[in-house]
Amino acid sequence: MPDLLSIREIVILAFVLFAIGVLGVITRRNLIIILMSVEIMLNAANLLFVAFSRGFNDSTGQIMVLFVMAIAAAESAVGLALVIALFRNARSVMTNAMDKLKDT
Amino acid sequence: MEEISLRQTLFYCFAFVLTGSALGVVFHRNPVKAALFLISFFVSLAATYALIGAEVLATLQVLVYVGAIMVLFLFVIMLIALREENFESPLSNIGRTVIIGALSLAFTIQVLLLLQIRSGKGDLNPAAAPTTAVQAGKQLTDASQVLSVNLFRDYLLAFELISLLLLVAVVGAVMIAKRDRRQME
Repeated sequence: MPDLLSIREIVILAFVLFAIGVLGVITRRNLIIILMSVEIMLNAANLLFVAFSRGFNDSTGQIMVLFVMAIAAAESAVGLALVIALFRNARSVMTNAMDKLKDT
Repeated sequence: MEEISLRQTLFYCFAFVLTGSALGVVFHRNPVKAALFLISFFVSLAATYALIGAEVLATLQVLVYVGAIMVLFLFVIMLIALREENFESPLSNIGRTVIIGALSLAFTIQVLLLLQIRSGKGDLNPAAAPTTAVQAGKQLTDASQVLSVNLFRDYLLAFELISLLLLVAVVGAVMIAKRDRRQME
């Protein structure tokens, strides 16, 4: 059964979503928003995996998506723990607050 | 031929909601509302997976991301009581209204399409619907069988390593989040 959606549109959508995630990582200064943007980028990559897995009729891509999901869960757990640790030290989650090494 | 237009229309609606939700995550001032936009993003991505034909992954996407990761995010946001930051959103009020209007338009189109399918007057041929449903169910079973055989036979070592990694991540997260409190005591 041929896939009726063309791969090209899905690839364009994944590129747009990845670009939005990169934009969030670059422009925002809130660490939690940055973590959310990283999640958006991971999901854009997942979308590409699924699209090509269906396009080539090979289930390896979907297995990779499973692994990426597990690693994303681990990443967000550790990242949020780091955010909590930073908040306990600096009373803020902005990246501006991470200047403990600065000579003042 | 008619099924193509329905699937493409649905795909464009979901793509629109996806892009709008991602922009909302990146550009919204309130972190709680950004997290809610992220939930909308994950759910529409799961719908896109189902549309592409990866139903198992769509289920897992909702379970893992919306059920676990987003609860974690919201819990941390409310735990540290974030206030709205003074972040100048590059979207003006007009732009925000346009985005919200376009999103609601896409949602209306989706609902209309779904109603058309339900009433049998849509692009899907009603006479051909049972056979396609049977075919879809058969294909779903085959796809998930192929997926599980592939996962538990060819990638068994990676699967076990992933469980080890998750254990390490959980223990590490607890240690990182607890260490400061012990120092303070």
